[in-house]
Amino acid sequence: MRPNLLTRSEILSTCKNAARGAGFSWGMASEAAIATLALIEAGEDGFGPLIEILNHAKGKEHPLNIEPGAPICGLTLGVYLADLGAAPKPLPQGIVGLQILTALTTELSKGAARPDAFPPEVLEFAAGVLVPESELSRRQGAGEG
Amino acid sequence: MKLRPPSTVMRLARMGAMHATRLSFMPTFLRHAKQQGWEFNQAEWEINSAGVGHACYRVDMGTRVYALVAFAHDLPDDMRSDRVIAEAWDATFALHDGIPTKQDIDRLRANVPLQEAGRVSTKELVLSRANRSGRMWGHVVDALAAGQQPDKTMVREIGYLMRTTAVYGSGKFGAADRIDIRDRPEFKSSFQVEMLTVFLIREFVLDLVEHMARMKGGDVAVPLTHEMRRMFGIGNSTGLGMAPFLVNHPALLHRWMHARETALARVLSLQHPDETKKRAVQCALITACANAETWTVQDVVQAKAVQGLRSGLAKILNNYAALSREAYPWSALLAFAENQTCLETQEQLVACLLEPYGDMIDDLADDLQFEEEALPRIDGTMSTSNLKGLIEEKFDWMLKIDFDKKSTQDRFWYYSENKYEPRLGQRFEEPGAELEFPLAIARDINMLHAALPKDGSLAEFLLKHPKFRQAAFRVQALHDLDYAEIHDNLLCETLRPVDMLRCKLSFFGATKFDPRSDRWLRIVMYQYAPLAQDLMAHEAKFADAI
Repeated sequence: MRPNLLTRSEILSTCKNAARGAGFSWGMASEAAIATLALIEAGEDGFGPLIEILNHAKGKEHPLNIEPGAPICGLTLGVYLADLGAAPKPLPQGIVGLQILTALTTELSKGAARPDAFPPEVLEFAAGVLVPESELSRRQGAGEG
Repeated sequence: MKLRPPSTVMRLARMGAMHATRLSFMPTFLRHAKQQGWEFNQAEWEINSAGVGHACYRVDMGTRVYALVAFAHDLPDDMRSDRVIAEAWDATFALHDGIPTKQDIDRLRANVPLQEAGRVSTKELVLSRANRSGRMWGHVVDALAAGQQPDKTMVREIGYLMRTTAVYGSGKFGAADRIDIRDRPEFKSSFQVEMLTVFLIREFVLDLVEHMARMKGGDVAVPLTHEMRRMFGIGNSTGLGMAPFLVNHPALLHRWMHARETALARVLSLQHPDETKKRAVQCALITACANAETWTVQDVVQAKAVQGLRSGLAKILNNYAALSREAYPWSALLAFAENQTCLETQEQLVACLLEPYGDMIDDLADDLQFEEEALPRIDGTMSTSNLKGLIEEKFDWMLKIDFDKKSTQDRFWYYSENKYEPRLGQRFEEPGAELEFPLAIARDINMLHAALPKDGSLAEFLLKHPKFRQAAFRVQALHDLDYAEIHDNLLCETLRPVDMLRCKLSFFGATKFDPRSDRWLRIVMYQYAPLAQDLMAHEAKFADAI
């Protein structure tokens, strides 16, 4: 028992918000979160490749390029391959966040300890989904509980 | 066996009129506790004369022990707030997995009173807090301290001494994830760990009010009578934070609704119920009438519904003798209610019809969980024309809404900067709609349908149009789950989010729904339910104290 261990649901919800905050759609953000958690539970660095992908995606139009020749988004290509149930190889060079692609297209082991905290970059991206409460919303009563 | 169709059941107006049934999670918890002989006891009580300190309540289930660690605080009146942004409470709680050590208690003491600002561990399953009812607490302490029992009418009407403002489970603030405990038999049905926590909170609150009366009245003070103790439940104040749950857990929602509708269909199929059951249904209706009489609300819409319930139940009871003599009397009774009474009455009747049929339907409550991760992922090899066909076949009602009209997209759901809480905004008057939270299911599936080309694979389409990914996923994953989607537009200007809250809370087993606006409400849990001592004693009946 470690008191500060991040929980699975915290990792899923924060990473999903982070991916959405970077501009991915909610559906894609959900895939990013699932892949990040899978990497972490396999004892690998999940946040690192996620941050790479989010930095790469930030400010870009979607869908991201998955044609060879330019940096390829590992999330976009990974999701596409997983949708088709296609084998991930041979892969082109220059994939950003390759581990996320791997997590989306292969079965990873489980059971590794989860980290104690989120990297600040993930939290910054996650804050991108938040909307300040407007005066109107406050007046109408946002609701208790 | 024919179930009521989702076009009837899954409308928000009806969901917002649903009542607790014997399949609800609180009665299910009480049945399990009774059947399995769980032992409850107050293991620690270190609370001083000012009402400050901690207590520990244990439940021994034979194979496992759980403990509610409760912290009582001396909260000045001006700090008492039910808002989620509050920072102090009258009492705070954690449900611990096992028997807590002194170190655990110290660790919890440093964190649990802080709630969201603290951190619990995977040895904790639930985090919660509660505030006193301003009206009730002082009255009960004063009465008991003076050697008197509290005013029965007031207790009936209010129903609680403290109300919880959050009951956090499933991986919140460091607590164990649901996946860690879902295979334990005691938590197999939905929300059982939360129901256990609230049940133990009720025991603690009753003991605390008696303690405070003793501190005030000394030898003159008396404890609550057994009958009076059972009249107290635990209040709860719930707002928009709960609303997205039903949309985010569609397969679970389907399972809940399907179980309930299956139970109803089983009961409606009885051609000649025996006289005992006929009397029991009548008795349940009379009890419902009595409850409706003490159900007071300020909300105009709900007040009208309660009025309709009173007159509707009276109509049903007036015609009960004749209708219950027919073949398939329960079908006849429901048909009568559907023709002659409001939704609130119809749904109350459903609960009354189920009440005496535990032997026929309780099995449906035993496995009401579903992990949404178990839904199949997107099959990108499906053709876009097949997906389009699925939408037309199964989600046709969504295609009938004209989303070009301003009124159909008037609202948007978002995460507020205040503690990541879901909120509802007005799209054309407030900023932030570009960050809306994905609860616009009907609109998104409608738009997906319009955007899908005649040819090509779904994978290719989603690669070009990732914004439709969630909508496509729902169509594929949920098209066979009839009760997974709410059959209403959640962006509509006439939306009343309390309807979503009411539906979920009725599955919890809550009573006395008291909307305070269209966005939040108060309820009561476990009012009139057996106490721990009743569950451990001989026969205990859920509502026999009414």
